[in-house]
Amino acid sequence: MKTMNIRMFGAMRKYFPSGQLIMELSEDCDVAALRQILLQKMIQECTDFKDSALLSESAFSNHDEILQETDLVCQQSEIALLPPVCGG
Amino acid sequence: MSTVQVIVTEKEIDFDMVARWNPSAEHGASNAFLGFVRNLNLGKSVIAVEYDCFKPMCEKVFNQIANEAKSKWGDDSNILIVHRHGRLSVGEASVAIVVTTGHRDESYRSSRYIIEEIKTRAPIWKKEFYVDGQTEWVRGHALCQHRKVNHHEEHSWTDSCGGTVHSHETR
Repeated sequence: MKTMNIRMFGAMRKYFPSGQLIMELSEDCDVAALRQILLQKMIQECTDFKDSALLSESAFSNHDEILQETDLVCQQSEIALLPPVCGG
Repeated sequence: MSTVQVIVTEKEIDFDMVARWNPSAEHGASNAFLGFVRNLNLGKSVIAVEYDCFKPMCEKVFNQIANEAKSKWGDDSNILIVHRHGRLSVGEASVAIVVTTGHRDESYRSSRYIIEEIKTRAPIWKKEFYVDGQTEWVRGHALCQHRKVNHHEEHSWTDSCGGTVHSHETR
């Protein structure tokens, strides 16, 4: 198992004001699996979180690029969860 | 030697710096775009916004977009992108884009491309504060890996998830 820090941005801060969520993941966890595990963790940690569509529409990223659903996340100790963006 | 400069900052945008920014004496055109915080969005009276951003990736995406613009409208163009984060009141400038080129056509096209791409690709989020005391994170554009971009249409772009974004839309 590996400890992962999930950084939260934008609308996710409404549910996780600290901007992070710590969780344990298996070594072979990919982004698709992380998305499922994270949904359960978010519901568990925040009873107000009912917006699963927001998580579905969000991307995951290391500090460099958006990760694909099949990318393994075990190489990272920190992942950013990026909800739909609204810059400009 | 062309220049790309990106700044993600909590500080107010320096209009004087933006207006004077032109690293190349041979460039006769400078197109400066400024975006401001509006007092109205979707019928709600806005008093302020708060921008959240993932700064390291934001700076990287700004550089990518600027280099894409250079490859399309001139490798010798100079590009400055400034974006605020933190809380801004109505009337404050949230974004500035300056493109300098030899002639005006390339600078207009490049500038338009850059702002449209920023809106759909940069990891920036906006929370609106309303007159009635309520707040809301604006639901924007989902980031995705595969892009289909229409670079040459004058009045429409295709966003990062394949949906067409028309230039008259208020976003």
